[in-house]
Amino acid sequence: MSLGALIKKDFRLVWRRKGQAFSLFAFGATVLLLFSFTARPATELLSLHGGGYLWVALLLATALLVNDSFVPDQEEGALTGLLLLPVPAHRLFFAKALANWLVLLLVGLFLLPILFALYDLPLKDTGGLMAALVLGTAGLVGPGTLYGAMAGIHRSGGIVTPLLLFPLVVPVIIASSQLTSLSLLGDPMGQAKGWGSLLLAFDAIFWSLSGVLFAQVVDD
Amino acid sequence: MTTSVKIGLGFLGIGIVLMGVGSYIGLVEAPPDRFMGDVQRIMYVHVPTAWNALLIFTIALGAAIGFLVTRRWGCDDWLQAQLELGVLYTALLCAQGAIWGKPTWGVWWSWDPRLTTTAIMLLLFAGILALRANLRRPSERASLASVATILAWITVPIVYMSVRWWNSLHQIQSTPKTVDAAMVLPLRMNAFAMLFLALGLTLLRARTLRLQRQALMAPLAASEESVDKSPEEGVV
Repeated sequence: MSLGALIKKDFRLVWRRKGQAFSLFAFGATVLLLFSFTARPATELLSLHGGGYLWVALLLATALLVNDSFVPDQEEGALTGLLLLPVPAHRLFFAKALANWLVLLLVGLFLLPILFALYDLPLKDTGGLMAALVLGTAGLVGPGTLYGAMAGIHRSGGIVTPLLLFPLVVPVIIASSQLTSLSLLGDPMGQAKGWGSLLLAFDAIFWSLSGVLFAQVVDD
Repeated sequence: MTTSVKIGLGFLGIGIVLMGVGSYIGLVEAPPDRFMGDVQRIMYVHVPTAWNALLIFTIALGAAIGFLVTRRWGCDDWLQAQLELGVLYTALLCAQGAIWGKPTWGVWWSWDPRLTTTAIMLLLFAGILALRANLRRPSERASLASVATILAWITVPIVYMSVRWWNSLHQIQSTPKTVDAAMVLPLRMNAFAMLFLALGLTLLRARTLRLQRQALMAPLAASEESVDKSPEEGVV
């Protein structure tokens, strides 16, 4: 089974569960709203910290997203059927991770207007903001999809995914928060490129490593 | 008493004796630090704890890869024992560092690269223990914990290199060239003490885990008593 067919399968699952993507967006918007109460009375802090709050919201959404991303695959033994086909396991991983990435990226894009409205933010560099969203969400869903498989297929318990994922993606949170804040508030020292490279390196390492290790998670 | 228990207890004994002698020399014989005074003496446990914590997690990585390649249960017993010990050593490490940090830096904790990466490493490996506790089937517990250990181990070289890669409040690694011989001796002794304690505890813990797993996986072959406490249904 080709990677293309698997991607089609996973994107179709996303489309059929549009409600889930919308719920994640509503969840992220709620988190952003809640953060706006934490800075009172110094509400000017919100525009300084807004980039970081966006990434905490996306991180929390990732845990919910990946935890049940393998649930529809298990209905009526579909995953077992897939595993019986001569398909290398990493293809299953990459198709699922791409679908998760798409959902999280959309959630991030739709959260942007909320972010600007609630925190009164300027926008200095649209390209930098888009790069932060694309690279940062990839860093979250790469290892996230692997841990999500542990939760969805092996019932490791919903709490375990954040316990394993959150410390691992600390570099992603630091780099994407910085990159987001620099593109919103301005980057006089030219730091954006370094944070972008860090994200790119993290994505490359953890997508390949998770792809290789995925076979061990589904085989057992 | 089986051989592994004898060796384990022997290692523990060596570790305790070495730790006693090394700590005596470190606390009494070795001179106080010129700038920090007696506070510096915590180094004689802190540095050995750090070295051994990183070593233990690296042995855990070996056990994880070993299990995924060979599927031998012995690897999984070692993995579990190393994860528990590594988390214990790293927690001790953070506590010792905080005790030293308060009088020296003025704070218990600082968001410095070395401390931050160590905290991430501790949380990641503690998360793997939570993962294991949540999984029932021994084979999936072993595979998933091995996968998570390989991902988590990436923090180990980062912790080691953090003081060189970034401007850190924490001092960089010393070498025997930069440390007085009177201070090197207790440091070395305690380092081997922590290593022997770790090896002894690993051998004893791995044996307990093996017996537990055997009772769970082959209840009929075990004693009558363990059959009464039959494991969950569906366990292979």
